[in-house]
Amino acid sequence: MMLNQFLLLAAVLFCIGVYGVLTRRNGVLVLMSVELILNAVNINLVAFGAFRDNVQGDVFAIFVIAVAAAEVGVGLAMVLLMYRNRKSTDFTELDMLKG
Amino acid sequence: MIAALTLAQEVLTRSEFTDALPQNIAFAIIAGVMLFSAFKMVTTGNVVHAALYLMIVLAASAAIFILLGSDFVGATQILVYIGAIIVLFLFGIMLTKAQLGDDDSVSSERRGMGALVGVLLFVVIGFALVDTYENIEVEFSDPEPIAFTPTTADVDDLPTPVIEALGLEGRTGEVEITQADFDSLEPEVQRRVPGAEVFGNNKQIADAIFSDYIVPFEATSVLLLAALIGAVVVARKE
Repeated sequence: MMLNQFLLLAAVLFCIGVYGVLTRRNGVLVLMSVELILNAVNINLVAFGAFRDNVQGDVFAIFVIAVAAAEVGVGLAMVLLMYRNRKSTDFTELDMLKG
Repeated sequence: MIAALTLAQEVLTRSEFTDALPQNIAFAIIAGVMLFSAFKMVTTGNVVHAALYLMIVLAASAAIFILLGSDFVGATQILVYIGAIIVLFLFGIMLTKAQLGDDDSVSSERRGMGALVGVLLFVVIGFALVDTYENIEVEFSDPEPIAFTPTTADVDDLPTPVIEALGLEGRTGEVEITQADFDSLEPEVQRRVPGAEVFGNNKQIADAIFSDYIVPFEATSVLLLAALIGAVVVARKE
């Protein structure tokens, strides 16, 4: 198997995730697209780990998974808070800091 | 028709395909399912369907990890992502009463800009990757054996490298292989001794996490605690 097939797959996944973050308005769906991006990075890390024949890529992927779990917990708590205050989870309405 | 068949045969018998044909077929199937689900996830109007499509994408990437020989990362992915994070997302969808039917439509201007950014990003990354790693192959080395239980084995059943390394030439009948015998062997020979358990790269991952990366590991546990407390404080009712 070629290294590039994994890296290009991860690149496509990353770009789909970026598209999701940019176009989605629902906060939960934006968080899901962020998970897509983190997952693309994980595929890169594991592919490079297999390519270099050491486990550092795997170790970093495991750390990324742990940090992503923490990020989802805090992010969903913030979406819940926003829903409680504004009865909406539309991220495009969050423009209080607009100058 | 015949020309097409000969062309297909010629492509399929090229060495880079036949060397890892099953893996390449598996990769093609997994990648197809993954990209289709990812695309549906960011375009579907139904929020619950988006969560389920995300689950397929995460399962497919666990399959990619296993295909790359990182079975521990694949298992962690299934446990943490599919087991916990998807459930968290579904809770988030239901608690916020997001439109369970169609999501409110996104303006076509935003959609166009998003697609433009995505395609441009892919062109840049893809060009850099193709330019740098043009045709480099991923080589898989055999994993080291992690455990050994002392056994007795018939000399006739032992592989030749093991017999030579242990100096058993000319012996017949049952011989006992002890832990000391096993430790004296080279890793390539150890793998072929009966009683050796070969099981992925889990031992090396555990060694790395609990020696070189012990500080990040402990920091991760503090981070998870901080995230737990932070989520409770943020989402709590006054």
